[in-house]
Amino acid sequence: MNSLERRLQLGLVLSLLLLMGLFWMVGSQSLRQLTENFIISRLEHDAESLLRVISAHPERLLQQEVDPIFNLPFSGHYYLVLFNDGRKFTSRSLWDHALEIPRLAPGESRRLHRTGPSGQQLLVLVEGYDLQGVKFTLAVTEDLTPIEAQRDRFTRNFALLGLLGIAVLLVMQRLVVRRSFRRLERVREDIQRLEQGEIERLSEDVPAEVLPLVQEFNHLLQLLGQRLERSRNALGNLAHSLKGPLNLLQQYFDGEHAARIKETQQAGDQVKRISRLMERELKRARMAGAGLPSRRFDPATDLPDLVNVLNSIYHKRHLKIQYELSDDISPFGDHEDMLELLGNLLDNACKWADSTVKCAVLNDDGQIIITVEDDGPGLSDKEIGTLTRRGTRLDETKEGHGLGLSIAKDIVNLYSGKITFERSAELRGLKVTVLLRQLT
Amino acid sequence: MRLLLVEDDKLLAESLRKNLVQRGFAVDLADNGIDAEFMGSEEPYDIVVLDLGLPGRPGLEVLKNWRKQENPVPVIVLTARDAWHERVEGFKAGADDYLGKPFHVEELNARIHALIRRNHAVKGQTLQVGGLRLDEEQQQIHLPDGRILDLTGTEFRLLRYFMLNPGKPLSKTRLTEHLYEQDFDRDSNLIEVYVSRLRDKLGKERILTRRGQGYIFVAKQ
Repeated sequence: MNSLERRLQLGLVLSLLLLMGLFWMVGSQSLRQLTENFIISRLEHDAESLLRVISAHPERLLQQEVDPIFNLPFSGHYYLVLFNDGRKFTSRSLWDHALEIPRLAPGESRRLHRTGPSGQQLLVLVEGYDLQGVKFTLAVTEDLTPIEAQRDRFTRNFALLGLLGIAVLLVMQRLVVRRSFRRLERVREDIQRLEQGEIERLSEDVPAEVLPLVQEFNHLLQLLGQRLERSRNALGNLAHSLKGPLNLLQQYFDGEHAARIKETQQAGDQVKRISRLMERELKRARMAGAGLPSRRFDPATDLPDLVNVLNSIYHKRHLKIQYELSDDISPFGDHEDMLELLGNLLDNACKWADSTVKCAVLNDDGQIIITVEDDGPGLSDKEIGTLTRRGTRLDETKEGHGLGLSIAKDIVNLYSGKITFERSAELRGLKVTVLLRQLT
Repeated sequence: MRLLLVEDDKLLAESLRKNLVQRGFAVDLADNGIDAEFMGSEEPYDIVVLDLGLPGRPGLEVLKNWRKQENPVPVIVLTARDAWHERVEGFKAGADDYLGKPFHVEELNARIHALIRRNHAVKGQTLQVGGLRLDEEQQQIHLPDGRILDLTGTEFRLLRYFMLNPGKPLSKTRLTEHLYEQDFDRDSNLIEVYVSRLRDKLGKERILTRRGQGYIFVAKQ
């Protein structure tokens, strides 16, 4: 059982049932005691009035002198007098029903439960007497059935009320719990906003129970951010310190004296290869991927900047670089990753374009669609096939489509997106379409 | 042409400097951001080659500070990181061109020439003024009558500066500033010597003397 709510409910139900059961048991027990004591006191009263009749005429019991209830057949009020000399009087109301009563010594008194005529539940008060030498045992009874029926009704109602109470309490508890958990819902929303880069850390205005969790999470987040920053810096420094020497080597092999010897030419090719490999792996290592708290790419400001850069780089070719943006597009992805993706796609398009490059970043129901197309020669169906196939790497040893598109593909894969290559219907060159998953 | 090369890798800087001097640039070197910013602000450079990863002060900051002081010197940014976000930042900070390391020296030369030509509003690939064509590769001058003359290093530098600024009066001080590196013993008589040598080669009417103003390179025949 993993739901906190269920757990709370179960605990509450069990403890309430236990409590209510105890109440019910003690209550009904004392109620029974109470009614019996009450009836016994009435029976004592009956016994006293009977005693008065007996003491007036010890040899017989005059039925007309006793309470009329004792003459009503099966009234539930019966008496039985057993003289020690063998005489026995019973009330008229008992009719011919035989009631078993023990003979008691004078002064003794007992409470008994007997079944009377037609299933009556009788409470019997039996007492032994010695009235001026005449010893006898007197028993008076009262039917408990009506009072027990009342009592049962009461206890049943009590139980029903108790169950109703439990149900009401459960509903209330549920409301309270839901209300408390709604504050946790805020944490969940925070995490979502974090993923979108709207905030950099979770709000610590949360219930005390989850505060340690949130704090720990924030701490981890900070660590991750720092690690990304550190590794990016370290990679930058590595690139910086490696590329100086590589540049020197390249210059050496570019020199005329080197070109004349075959071995140095080969060494020069290796230097080029190392540079290319390094470039590629460094770029790959710098990718952050989705879900990290870093600066987001805001197409509304970043795309125009990028287009300006491309215009400066390709100013001699007088290319027309057009772009289109959805109005409702919010920042997405890691700033560096997305600039690298769009930069590579646009750079590739500019390299091959004849005069026009078109780019669009659109929001289709929360899914980001990026298209980049040019009016260059495009790719053959076979080349497109190689590009599209999953897991294949482009031939990166050649200039041109190789490295840039390959990096773009890596970034899209890192974001679990989709990248497709086709012939542009409009511009007749290469068209690259990137789908990035739901980001809301 | 005065060129400021900002690069902290001493070997690479030295090798680039040698190459750039061969191409007729007066090269000053800075190996940290603070010196670089100061030199760029104080000296009238024609172009700056700026590495971004610098000790002392990051290259981007140096560049931003120059632009803040309205220093319009054309800047080519060199960087080892070569990431697009860096390019965007570089251009936003005011860079004019961008080159990722490792690069071929030819590539750098081409970019420098292109940038200088762009800055002086020169159209086309070669420097042509009034029927004269300067071959920057061979450091030769093609005369209208088809003759090709070799130029010495200083002659080439001087002529290139004249041809990039035709029709403008250029003082001796300005010419010295743009022809020689910082620690060169500046003697304005040298300029007179080289101007007269150029007049010998191109004809007296090409370079006029304006008293108190300096020289004017005549654009039209």
